[in-house]
Amino acid sequence: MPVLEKTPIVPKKPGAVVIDVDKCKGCELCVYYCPQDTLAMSKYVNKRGNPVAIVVRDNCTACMECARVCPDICIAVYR
Amino acid sequence: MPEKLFMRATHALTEAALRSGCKFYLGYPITPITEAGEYWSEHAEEHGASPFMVESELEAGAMLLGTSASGARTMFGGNGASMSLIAESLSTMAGMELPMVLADFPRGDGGAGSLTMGQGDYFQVTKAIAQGDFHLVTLSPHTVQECVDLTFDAFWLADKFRVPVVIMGDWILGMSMEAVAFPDRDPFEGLEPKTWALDGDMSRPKRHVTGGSTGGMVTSVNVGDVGKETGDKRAPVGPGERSVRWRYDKYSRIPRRWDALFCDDAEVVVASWGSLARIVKTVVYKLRREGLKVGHFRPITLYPYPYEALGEATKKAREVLVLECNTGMMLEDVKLGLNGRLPVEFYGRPGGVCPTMAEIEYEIRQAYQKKKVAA
Amino acid sequence: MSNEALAEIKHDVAGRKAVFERTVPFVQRATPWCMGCGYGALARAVIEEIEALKPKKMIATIDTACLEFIEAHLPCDNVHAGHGRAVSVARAVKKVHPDALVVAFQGDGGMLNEGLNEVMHAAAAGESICVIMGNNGVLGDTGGQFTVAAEPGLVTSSSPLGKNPKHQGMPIKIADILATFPTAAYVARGSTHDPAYAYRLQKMIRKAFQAANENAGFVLVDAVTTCPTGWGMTSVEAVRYAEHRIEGYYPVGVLKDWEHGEKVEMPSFISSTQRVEGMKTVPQPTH
Repeated sequence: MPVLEKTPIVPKKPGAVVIDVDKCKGCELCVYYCPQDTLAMSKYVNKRGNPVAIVVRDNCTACMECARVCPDICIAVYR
Repeated sequence: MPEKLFMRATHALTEAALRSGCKFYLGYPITPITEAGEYWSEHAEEHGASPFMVESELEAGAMLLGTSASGARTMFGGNGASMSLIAESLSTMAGMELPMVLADFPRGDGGAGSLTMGQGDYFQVTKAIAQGDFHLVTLSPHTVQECVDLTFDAFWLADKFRVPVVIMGDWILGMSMEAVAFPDRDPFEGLEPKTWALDGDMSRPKRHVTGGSTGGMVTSVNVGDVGKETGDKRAPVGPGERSVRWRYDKYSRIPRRWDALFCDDAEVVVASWGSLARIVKTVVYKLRREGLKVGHFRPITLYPYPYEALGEATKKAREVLVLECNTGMMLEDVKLGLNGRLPVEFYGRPGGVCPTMAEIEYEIRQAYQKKKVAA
Repeated sequence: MSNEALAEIKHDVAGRKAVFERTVPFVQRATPWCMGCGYGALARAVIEEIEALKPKKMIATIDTACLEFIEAHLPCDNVHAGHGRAVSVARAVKKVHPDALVVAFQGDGGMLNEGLNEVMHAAAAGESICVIMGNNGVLGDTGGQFTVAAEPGLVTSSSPLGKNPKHQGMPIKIADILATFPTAAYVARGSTHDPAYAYRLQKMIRKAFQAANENAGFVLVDAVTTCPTGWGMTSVEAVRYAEHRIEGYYPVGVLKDWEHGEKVEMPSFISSTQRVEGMKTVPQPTH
């Protein structure tokens, strides 16, 4: 997982993803399905005690796979 | 003067239901209620009701819930076994405060039951047919005319108090044909429209029909006095307790009904209900003509039981004799109501046998002469 | 790291517009289901399709099961039903309000274990209700015991060595059975385990709501979902197992299609007493 130097990340490709970390339960499905490896699991946990998914790269293509599969509906996708 | 018709009890009850605006009859053919369904399927569409016949009793239980929650007047027809089958649904529907009428015509004995007179379902219906803290409001007719009148009353009570109401007949009544007159009454008189019922309107905030502990039902019942001496050491009140207390508050407000005959100066009061009461009353009339000071008390609301009226009727009595076609069920309510004030004797024939007039006369005479009565 | 700091690790969305917005009820409230539960995507699909269809009248009946938690998020009138009874309650509601869209939510345990009787009667009667079955092979609400829909080999708390067909039999594929009924208008099976499948499932739900809203006949959507908790797997393992489940037992697809304007017509009939020529028996007396 690349070290985050600057947040928020300004994506180079057209897509952008926002994850609501309060609601994320850490199921890792978005990480599993993202075809660009834009997402990964954080080693930190949120207030609920779940490790959350976070964006780690700037190459999102807005394919929406993460948002469609998220069981907690915490992902919004922008283009 | 309304015209008189010669009808079976089950037909008369169904006709009364149709005239009360009942839209659904949910019942499975089972003797002796079967004819109610047959009558319904023939006449429903004349009254704008649904001719639908439900496929099984378990589905009838669920469809009672759905039709009642949607605001329609709905009824169930069955015997003791059918009531057992829908028991779980009844508990749920009592908790959800859903109005409905249940026509129950039991038989004698258990299981499939005998094809004869029995009153062995008194406990089942009035005490606790299913899980959870609830009772079923129960009305007990003893003539076909009463079947008609109590049906109108049952739908009204059900809607007014939002409770399931049972009309419990019996085998003899189920098989009887008598002259009836249908009263000309407005079945919805004095009732508010059902603003709690679901109609799917998406233009207003959604309504949710659920109840008790699962639903977190909102009621205005104040349970504040409960355990107030122990202050903050008492257990906190939850939706389940509120729901149960609200139910019992409703039951306490339901008007009790009874029929007391010759009780003003009776030394021995005989208590019975249902069709057996018809036979007992005939004997009581006969004994009165002979000069015996015998009275008769018949509860019409089996639950909530008219305890106070029983106390009034037995004010001058020295003994109470309970007669039933079971091993002593209303007997317990009578004892509870009298609370030891008077000796209570019992005579019953369970398992599908109905006592003859001779037997009943003998037992009343024995009680009158303060002789021990056969059990 | 605090929630606020975690929330900052996101893409900068300046100058971009939303192509996938979060469904409104879930912006405020977290879903009540376990992590990785397939019902999350199913609930999202259902609520988005209700918002797209904008029915004037809609009533939902919800079985007692894990799916009951959808009640709080639905925008319509709803009534709770006992386990296995949601379809009958939906039938009853539809009879009182025939112009409303009536949807029943039931899990595979409610439909195939407890209420198999009822869904078959509802389908045979051609009631225009939309039934959505969440099919994950377990009774999730009680801890994940297997149901009739579970395939052989599924390890659950009541089948620790895997469901044994010798004792428990094979799964009943209710969608396939009901698709053969002439009174069924639209029957389809989808899945939530994969984003592409979830998208197809959403389109099936869209059509299902439309068909039921137009009173076309009985509608069933079998949504194959994952239950990582019940299956004793992580969410990712569960979606990978789901592929085996779908391939072996529950292939996705439209089993009976429907187009706008199609309606199940009940046949006209001649009464039996008029069919027999020169009938000598006396018909039933009328009351």
